Amino acid sequence: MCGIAGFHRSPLPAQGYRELIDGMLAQIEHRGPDEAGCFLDDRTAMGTVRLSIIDLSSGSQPIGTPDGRYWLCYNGELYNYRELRAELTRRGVAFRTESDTEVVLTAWATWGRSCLERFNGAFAFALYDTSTGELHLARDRFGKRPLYVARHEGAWLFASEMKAFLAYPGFEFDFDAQQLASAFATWTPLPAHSGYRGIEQLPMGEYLTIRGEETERGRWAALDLAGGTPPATEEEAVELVRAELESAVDVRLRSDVEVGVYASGGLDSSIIAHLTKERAGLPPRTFSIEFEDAQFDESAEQEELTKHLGTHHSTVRVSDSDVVETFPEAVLHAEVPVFRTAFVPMYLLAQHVRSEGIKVVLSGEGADEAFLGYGVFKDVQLLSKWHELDDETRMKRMAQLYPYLSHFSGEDEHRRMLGLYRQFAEETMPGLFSHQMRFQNGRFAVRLLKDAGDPFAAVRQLVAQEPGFAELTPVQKAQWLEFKTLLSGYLLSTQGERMALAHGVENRCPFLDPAVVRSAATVNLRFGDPFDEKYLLKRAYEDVLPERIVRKGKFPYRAPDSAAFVRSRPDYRDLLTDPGTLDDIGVLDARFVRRFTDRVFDSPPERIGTKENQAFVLLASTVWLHHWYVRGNALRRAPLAVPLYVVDRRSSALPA
Amino acid sequence: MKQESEQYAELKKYMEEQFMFEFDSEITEDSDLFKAGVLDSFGYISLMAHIEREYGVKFGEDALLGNVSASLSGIVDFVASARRQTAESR
Repeated sequence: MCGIAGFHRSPLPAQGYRELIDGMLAQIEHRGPDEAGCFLDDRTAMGTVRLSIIDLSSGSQPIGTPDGRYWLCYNGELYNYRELRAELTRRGVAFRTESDTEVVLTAWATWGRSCLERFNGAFAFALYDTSTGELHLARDRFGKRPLYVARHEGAWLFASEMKAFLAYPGFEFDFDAQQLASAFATWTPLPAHSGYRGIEQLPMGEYLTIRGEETERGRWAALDLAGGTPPATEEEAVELVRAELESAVDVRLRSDVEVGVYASGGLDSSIIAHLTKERAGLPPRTFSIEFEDAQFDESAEQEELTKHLGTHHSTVRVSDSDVVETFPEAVLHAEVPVFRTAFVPMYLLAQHVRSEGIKVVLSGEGADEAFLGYGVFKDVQLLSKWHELDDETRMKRMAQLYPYLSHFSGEDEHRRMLGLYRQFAEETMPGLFSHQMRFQNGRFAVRLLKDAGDPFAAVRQLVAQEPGFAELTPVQKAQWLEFKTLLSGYLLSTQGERMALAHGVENRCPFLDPAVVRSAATVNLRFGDPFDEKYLLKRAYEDVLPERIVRKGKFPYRAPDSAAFVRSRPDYRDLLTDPGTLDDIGVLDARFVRRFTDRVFDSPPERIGTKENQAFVLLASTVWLHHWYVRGNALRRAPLAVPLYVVDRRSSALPA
Repeated sequence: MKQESEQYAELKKYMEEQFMFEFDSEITEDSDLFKAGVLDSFGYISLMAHIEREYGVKFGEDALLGNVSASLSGIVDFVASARRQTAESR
């Protein structure tokens, strides 16, 4: 795992490229503290900070083809690199290293851009063709690794994290009010959005080629939510799921360093821990978060699992004040507005994992999206059939939706809910049927912004432009939206990758192997009760995991939110309402921010509901983002801590 | 039995306190409170429970949101109508 950064076609004199690239890489050194390297010529400067995982001795970057034509700065892992290497070797390629990076480079040199379709991995890279002067940027199919692109005074800037841009001369951050409104309403920035003007995120499964003044962009991987021909029997479906997950874990155990597992105590990570033990032949080291506040804690399930598997387990215990005190630092790494605090304990967990000497962890991320684990999938099944059902059936289904929420548990609540659900049984937001209720709830946070416009215009446009979206079933549309918004925009990025890489820890997600997602799409809703979430996953592993974990049902991972701030840091009332700050931020509605903040700090915690908590965290993260990025306090003054290996192809006329 | 004007004032106060907003030129008494970002499912269930408790009406599918927008004025009209129907049926 690594971080990349660079610029292309900059009007700045090439004599200064080395110092500039050093500064940009220093901003993201936490992603790859083991080595640093760069490639420079008169048009382009690009570099890598490396976290050594595969081929520790000779896998350094940047790496070029023997003829010196292609140069690659690569962030990620190519899980099927051994198979591709074998295929390329059969074609006569002689490899110089054992690294997956050289396989990526050689695959591009051999097959061109179509090599992307052969890749099973988590990656983002910049590949420079010195012959044509083209710069190719590409990102993996599910958006596991980040890649941001910005235009600045004629130059193209790119980096794994936006903070690298702060080191480029004259680059300044400025909030984009429309993107913030969209993020506040839909919980996360949309795939191409960053939250800031002039910075774009390369969307999952897409590439961008910069060719002189022209660009070419496109998608190399689409989400396959239809799957293949379903097996005839449930037993065959179970076998299919097991086989694909075993392969997915096998390739993700490829590493020259030890691989650990995040074990939350839930079904998904328990399956991964079990498979890791089975495939590696010995119990892995497991890591989890223990909350002091019992309402968030799952340590009993974690203990049951780790005893059952015999893993070497360690936990990090997190209190309310830990979350509050670590929040600013975690926001610095998140880089985008955040709607809940659950990413903060993940930051502390990654810190703990790294302190234990572990660089790679497997996690259960993606299972809920692939195997329909979220309530929104049951919601949309109920709503899309609403008019065919009687009240008794509707109420029975409601009881299966969110049993862990108080307002969804009890006959009176289900009866009252009938009127609410009936309203959402009609599509009023084109293309967003499954998410109407969630997105409507997001409107509250949008009130924090002035001049917000229509916060749903961008997401409506996203689905309207998606080829084939209209033909998907209501559940598949919901899946598509989950993959494109919450998964890539928050779970994989803010809560996952960014928190792990802040401490030089690489996370790998077997449930997001393309074959696993395809097999899930093949079997979803074809067997069992559709209101029993992740039915086939439970069936597949009920005989090897503790019954308590299999039967527990969905317990969303959450962390202390506004009440923790109110209790432990009353000064946040002033921090969030400081007139100078609000005036400087510009996009916030200062009047509503003050009213809202007063209400949160003056109300008993039980009066603060989900949408208020989300608004609070969005507000607090925006204020910290302003501090770090708009005011520029995220700029690190220290140079790279490791020596910079330089491939210098600048013209000989330039001084060395 | 409370009168409609009293009911109006009381519901308005309850909603402002419960849902952290104030009726003003932006969110009026006729605004759809879902679309205004005031009501979510948790708030909706709390509001229904409060109305059932305070005004003696029962909600089902064809209740509040089935026929009227979730505005303060719509809610008050609905409660008044439901109570009249209850009184007439006695």
